[in-house]
Amino acid sequence: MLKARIIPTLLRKELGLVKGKNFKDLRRVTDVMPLIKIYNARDVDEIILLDIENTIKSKPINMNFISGIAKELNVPFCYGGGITNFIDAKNILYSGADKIVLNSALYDNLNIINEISNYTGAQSIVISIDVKKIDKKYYCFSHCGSKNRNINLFDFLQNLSSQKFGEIILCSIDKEGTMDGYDLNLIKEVSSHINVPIIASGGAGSYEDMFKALEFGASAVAAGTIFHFTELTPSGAKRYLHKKGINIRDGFKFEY
Amino acid sequence: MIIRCKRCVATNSRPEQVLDKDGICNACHSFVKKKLINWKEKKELFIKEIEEAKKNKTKDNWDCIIPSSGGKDSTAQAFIAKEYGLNPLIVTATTCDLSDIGKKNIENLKKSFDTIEISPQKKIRSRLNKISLETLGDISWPEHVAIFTQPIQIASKLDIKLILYGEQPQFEYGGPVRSNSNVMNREWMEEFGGFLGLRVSDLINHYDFKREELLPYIFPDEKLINEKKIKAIFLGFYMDWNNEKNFSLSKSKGFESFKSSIEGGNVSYEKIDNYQHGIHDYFKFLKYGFSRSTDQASWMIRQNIITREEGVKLVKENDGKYPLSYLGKKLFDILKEIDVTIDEFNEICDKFTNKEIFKCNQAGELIKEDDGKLILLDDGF
Amino acid sequence: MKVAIINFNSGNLYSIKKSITDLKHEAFICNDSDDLKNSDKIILPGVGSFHQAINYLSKFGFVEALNELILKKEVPILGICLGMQLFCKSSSENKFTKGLSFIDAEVLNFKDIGCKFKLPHIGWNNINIKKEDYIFNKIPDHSDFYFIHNFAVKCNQQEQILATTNYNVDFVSIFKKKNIYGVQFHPEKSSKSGSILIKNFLEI
Repeated sequence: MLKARIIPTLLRKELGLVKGKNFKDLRRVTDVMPLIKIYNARDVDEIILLDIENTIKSKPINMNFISGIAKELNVPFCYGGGITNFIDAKNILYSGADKIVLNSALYDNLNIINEISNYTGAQSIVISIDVKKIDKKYYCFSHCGSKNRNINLFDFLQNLSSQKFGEIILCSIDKEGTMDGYDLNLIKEVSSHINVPIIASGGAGSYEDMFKALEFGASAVAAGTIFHFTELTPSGAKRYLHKKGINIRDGFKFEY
Repeated sequence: MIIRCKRCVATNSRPEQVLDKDGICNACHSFVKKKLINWKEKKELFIKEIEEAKKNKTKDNWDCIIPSSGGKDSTAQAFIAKEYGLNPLIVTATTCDLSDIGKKNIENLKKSFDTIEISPQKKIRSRLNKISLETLGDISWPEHVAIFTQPIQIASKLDIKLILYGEQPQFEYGGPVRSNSNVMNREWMEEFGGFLGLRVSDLINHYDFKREELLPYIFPDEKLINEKKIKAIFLGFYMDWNNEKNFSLSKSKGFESFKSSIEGGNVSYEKIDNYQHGIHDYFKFLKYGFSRSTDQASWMIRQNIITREEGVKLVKENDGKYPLSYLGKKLFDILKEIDVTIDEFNEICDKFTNKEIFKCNQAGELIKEDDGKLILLDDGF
Repeated sequence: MKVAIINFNSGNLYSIKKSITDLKHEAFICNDSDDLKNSDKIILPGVGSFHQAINYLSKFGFVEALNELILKKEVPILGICLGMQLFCKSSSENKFTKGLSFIDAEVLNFKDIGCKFKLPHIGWNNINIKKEDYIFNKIPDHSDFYFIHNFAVKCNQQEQILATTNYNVDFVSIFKKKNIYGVQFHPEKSSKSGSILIKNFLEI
């Protein structure tokens, strides 16, 4: 049976790890390496690392940095941030990442997805969509939530149907960093609209939030703030979800 | 890229540090805001806390706990408590590699105050130092945890109602200040305690420790703490916390500073309780491009002890030096106690070095000066 | 022991190399088919498209070299993900493409074998061991491994199936024919169970 995944998300900007709320008020909290090592020691299901500065400042992607991270991990690692062409995508995978995350580049050239997947295979591509609710409808934003692309989420999903990719990471800007719960309505609507796996992102505040997200159609849950700022851990999440009957990968049976 | 505050010399690379559009850091802003605080009002709030604690106090018990490491701040905290009519119990969570001068200053406090000294067994603590060095690039993780957990454990076990910590870091250095920023609790500790994500549960589940070996590092059940009405607060929230003033006060009460200049620092009365400080502060340089000299020069500039120009000079001279020794103890000896060789140490250093801010050769390797010092691409000056 | 990791311009070879060197063995990325003959064991990894991979392998002499080394000299080889699929007779990805035909099996779209679940199959799923083999030494039945694929293998010879996995339908997750092993998942990214599997392969 396929297991639900719990995925810690790390945002990197200007030399270190940042945490924000609604994609704003970014606080630099520590550097990335200690968390990578701890998550690896904890044998998490997967890790997502997003280099925010690449997109905002059109910074070139640092392949040495990616290798340095990959060196420390025995579990899958997704990297994103400023990827706009297939050479970068190829080099990132060659440097040790297992999947690449595309976001802002899609609004200028949606076909980049197929260009890259022809080379790397569709399954290595994660489409990251950040949305805000405006007048009860969801709209897509790029550049770390700063640019309104003026496209309705479902129109965007429709456009995406011509492209070959692996899964979607769906983030609610309104909920991000609030620890107030995922946007369950968003997950439910998108899940019934498309048939690719969805990673829910933005708003996890408790293990129960993660359970609900999975119940509402997510295949995996991503979380940043709660794992960094509170005593909640991926293992704790697994223990809780297992009790609730969700199929979860081993690694939670430890006592504490 | 490293950018320095235009007023002090703090860098934008420091966690929680933010430079505004005029290039002034949040710590400098905080310092200015402190002058506008109604300290009289704050003093009254503090007195209320004391009264509450005394009201709930059990018979024949101390009024409060002062967490101490043997440094100047804890000495000052103890005597300030006394000034307010409190009968404190000093809880010394000894540092991981207690220095001779640190020991002397702990003994000095013992002259005037009842003291409990807790020393986690060296065998376990050294393993923790080694793991936290290798995994987090922070040798001092056990200390970061113990300074919170041990005083609170004692408070819980002895039912002492008040714990007085010193500086409130968000006030002093920057970071979100919230309505409950006067209180130190589990929530605060998780967010601001500097644990870099490593938890006791990780040590038990993934690093082969037994729970009974980690007792000094376990935070007591918060429900119990609340039921007993035990509260930990920061003195820095209620009074104008000042390094110079604290040093003056503690010096007058017998606190001694180190007799020579301290490797990598500007003053000889701070960070003298632990031989591992040199390594701890060096890793700040590797990760963020600044170290103790920057920190010290920054508050010295804010408190008008030196000018910015003098601060810049001190940083250029002292910041980021490879820690060949600290307080006279050689790096080799400090590392030997935690079973790490110099080669292993250097490998760990490289792993945590942010290569984007230092000079590297064509092959991507760090360029080091003769004394092992790394060269910043841009020191921000 | 020297392990060759064939580079056909596709995917993350870094992690495979790391998992071998972590086990204290020598691994090299093989760009030239001539270098294959110096290896004790071979790994055919893969992420990408079937027909591009086959074209590359043909163009650069790997097909010939592999026929010689694998079928004649019986050098142990481990195919990972796309690598496993390449050992089969054919794949229906994009268009019908012939594979290396080392093993009597086909690569089919999950949809064509009746799977109604979301695709690709991404994440941790468990193997169900069908036949004992040294590759399972110290790996309990139902261990989880990391999968990420749209296409699945269907073996025509049941005795070549070492393990299956269920994703709405059962598919072959591990097969073996003599010196040839194929795993659909990524052992180099499957944490402890993956590392043990690679160790077992190296010990064969």
